[in-house]
Amino acid sequence: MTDQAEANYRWFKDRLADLMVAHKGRHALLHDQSVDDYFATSLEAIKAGIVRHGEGNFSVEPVDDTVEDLGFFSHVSAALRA
Amino acid sequence: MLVQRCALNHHRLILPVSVTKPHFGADGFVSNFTLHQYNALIDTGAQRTVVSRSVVAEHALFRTGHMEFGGLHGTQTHSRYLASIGLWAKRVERDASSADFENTELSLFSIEEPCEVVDMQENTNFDLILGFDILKMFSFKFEAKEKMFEIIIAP
Repeated sequence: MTDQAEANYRWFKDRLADLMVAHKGRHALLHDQSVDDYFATSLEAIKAGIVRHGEGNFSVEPVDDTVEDLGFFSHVSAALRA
Repeated sequence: MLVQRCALNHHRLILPVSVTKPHFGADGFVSNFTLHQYNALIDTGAQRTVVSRSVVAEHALFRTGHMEFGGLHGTQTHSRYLASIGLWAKRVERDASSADFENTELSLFSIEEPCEVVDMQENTNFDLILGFDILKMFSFKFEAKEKMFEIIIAP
């Protein structure tokens, strides 16, 4: 799973700007460094990924460049590690 | 109704929760919980629930992708995992006079759909951070006089 998810993520990040033109806000199901399909929710994409490729043989990434906020973990935890 | 309460402790609110790996079958996701309880920090400022790496490993949660989040030191990338979360609650009967009759036994309420959590390093005070992705599913309040948090798991 590590290799599939990491390789997919590197491939996806390189193409995110282009993918956002037509698919912003959707969730990309990735398999072997290509987009298999787009879904409205991440959970729908995960279900499709399990059925089509099996657990560990796909990953799902949001077609979005928004950075999330994890509250305590984003701010306090990061500061404690610094 | 099913209710869980916790008192403010060192300016923190900690609730008991359970975690398991969801299995996908013909009827959708199935979650088989154990009775093991983890400490979950209530954090309304977190957009997503965060789970320590030891809990991820213990339940062999499977990685679904990545998530970028902002912090004091710029943007960080962590992994997302699929997890089923259960909240422990007490059954409370509230009569016409609003007096509560509380059953002391705890029941596990499983959230219907699995959610995607983010991994974090170990923390001595809690195992999870319960973010607004889960909290938004329930009504909850904080009583300042008693310093007590209450979350209504099921009406």
